[in-house]
Amino acid sequence: MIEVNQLVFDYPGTRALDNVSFTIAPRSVTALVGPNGAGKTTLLRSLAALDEPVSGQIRIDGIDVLAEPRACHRRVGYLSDFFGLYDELTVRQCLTHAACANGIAERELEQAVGRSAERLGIGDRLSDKAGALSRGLRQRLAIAQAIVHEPKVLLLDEPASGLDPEARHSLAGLFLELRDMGMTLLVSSHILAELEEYSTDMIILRDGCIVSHESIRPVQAARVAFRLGLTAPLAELAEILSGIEVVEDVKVDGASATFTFVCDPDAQHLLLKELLHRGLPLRAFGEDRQTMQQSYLSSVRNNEEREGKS
Amino acid sequence: MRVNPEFRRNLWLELSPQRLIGMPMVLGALFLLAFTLSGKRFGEDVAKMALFLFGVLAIVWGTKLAGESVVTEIRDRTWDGQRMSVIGPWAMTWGKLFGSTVFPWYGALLCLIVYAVSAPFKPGTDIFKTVLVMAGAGLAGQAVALLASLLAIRRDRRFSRSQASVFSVLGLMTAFTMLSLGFQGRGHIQWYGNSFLPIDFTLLLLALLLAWAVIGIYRLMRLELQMKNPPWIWLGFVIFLMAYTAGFSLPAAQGISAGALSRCLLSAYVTAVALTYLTALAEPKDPIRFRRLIRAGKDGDWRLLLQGCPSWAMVLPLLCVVAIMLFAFPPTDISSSDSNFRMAVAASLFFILRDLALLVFFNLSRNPKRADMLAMLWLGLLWLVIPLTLSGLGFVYLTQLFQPRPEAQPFVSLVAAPCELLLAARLVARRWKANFG
Repeated sequence: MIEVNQLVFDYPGTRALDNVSFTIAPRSVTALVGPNGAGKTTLLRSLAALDEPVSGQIRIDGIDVLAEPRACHRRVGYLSDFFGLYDELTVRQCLTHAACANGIAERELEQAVGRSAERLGIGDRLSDKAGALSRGLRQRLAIAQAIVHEPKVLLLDEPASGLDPEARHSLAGLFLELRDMGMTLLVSSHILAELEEYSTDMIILRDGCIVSHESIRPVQAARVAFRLGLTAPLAELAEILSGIEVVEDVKVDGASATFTFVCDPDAQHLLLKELLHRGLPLRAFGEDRQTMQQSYLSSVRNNEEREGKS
Repeated sequence: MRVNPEFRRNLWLELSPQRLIGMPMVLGALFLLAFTLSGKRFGEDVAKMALFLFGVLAIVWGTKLAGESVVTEIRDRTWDGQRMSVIGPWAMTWGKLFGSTVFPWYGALLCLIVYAVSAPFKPGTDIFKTVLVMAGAGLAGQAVALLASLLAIRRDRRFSRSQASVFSVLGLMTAFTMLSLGFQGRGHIQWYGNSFLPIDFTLLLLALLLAWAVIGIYRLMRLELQMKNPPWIWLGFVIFLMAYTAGFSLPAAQGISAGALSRCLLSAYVTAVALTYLTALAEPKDPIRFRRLIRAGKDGDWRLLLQGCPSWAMVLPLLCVVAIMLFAFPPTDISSSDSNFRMAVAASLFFILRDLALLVFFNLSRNPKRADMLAMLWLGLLWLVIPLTLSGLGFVYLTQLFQPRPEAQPFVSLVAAPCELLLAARLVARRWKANFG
């Protein structure tokens, strides 16, 4: 759905994006993460055809964004990190203007406005002025404006900033709903735990370069990581684990250990039985799922090591 | 019929029921005051009040709103949403121009109606033309203010309210210039040998100004919406302006003589030079744009090259053409010889190129915030301070190193100007290599 090839973006004296290339599949939710100044906003603005890069190609839904920016605008919804609203207009007027400005026919305006408002939970605020809304409600209105025309691609820059935990959770539900409707989402955020709720892929951007682009939810892995904990350190733990068939990648750290094992639940049951049979003072045993935070840090560390070597 | 979304948004914002009722009430009170003070006569004093209130509403308030309409959206961070919408550049142009000023126009049109019915008949006063000039001046002022704001945001997108007032001032200057021209009351204006009444000429000028201002807004709106502009319209405007100013060099119906033609050409040349400097100062000269152009040139993408070419660079070929025509038809009414005049014109071309190179040089610095100010300072030194100092010290012939003067020895200028251009070009190349190479 989104193809970016050798994208270069310069600000006077600074290269913001340096030969960035990636592809995003349709109906996916990709988290765009990276430190401040990594180029996330510049990338999103380039994809939204709001800023023009020096070189490179961007294709969204088959449209060459640099050659046909207006055609891209029809297919893309964008929420800026520092968005603005027409404070003197009511919520209904804001949404009607957004829908009308995005090409929704007059006879469908009311329906589109109602649908968008309901999705964001602001259906009961349609008569309120935008300027009178709280920070969280303003954020919801801004998202509602971005999706009112149901774009094929939705680009969101820090969409959850200013929202309370409950609203963030419902936002995650909304993003999954939009993905199920067929939208492709690219979401930039600093809050990795929140992205974890709905993201299918993660792009890590650092100093204008892509450090990693990986799938967060592998469909079917052959092996899975496990972690076990003992009540006290055991000197021969590594030897015992390595001695068991199919156990690999054993790493022992004091009274705990990690290793990989097959995905088969029956085999996992037999492994646990075997460990207990050998008299290990087990207190914990389970899958060692890597959080997005860990995945991010590990990718960044790996990249730094690679750069150090080169 | 599909409503222009931008116009409708402005209607929601500007025309609340309270405002719709309030405006005629306030205006009615003021007209009643004028009526009472004039001895309860519905005539000249009420008409004067109507024109004054029109000026306040359409010209002063209207230009302010038009000049701030896009800048305020950028400041309030709503402009990106508009740019991402599917509203076309033409719809955005008239949606902004008439939408942002709809409330002042509501009151201003009421004032014009009151003027039309209250103005007493006087010989030499044409009420209909007066109304047209007033409305045209108001519109022209608003269009120029909006145009200036769109030009300014190409360079820097952050403008405070006080900075944005500069656009209103430009609009006000335009409107009041038109009004003073239209109502100067005596004499005739000669243009291409034709004699016009000031009010008639102003109406013609207003129509042309409005047409070009709206075309300019439309083209800048296209750029805001990430669309590319072909250069032909700009070249058309330059040729129009050259032809317009040349018209004043033919005050009486004399027919086409060599002397008249050279006067027209000289006027056109001066206009093109002025436009070159104006656009060179007004347009952004950032290295990113130059890098894109270099890349387009390397790729042989002529369309992109022409679309991205700075406006001042587009004027240069026209300038050369007019200069060549001036070589063929030198003025007959100047003291210098024809060859001296030709050398001076040729030298002036090199000096212009030198100045453009200097402007680019200062803008290629790592911190180009005040680059244009610095460049203007240097140009002031080169064109005025140094020649005046040399002249004061008695080295008059040396002033030609910086100014082409046909009445002296322009050969010195013709040698000096290319050398200075080469030096400036070398400075540009070195800075480009150091900072962006």
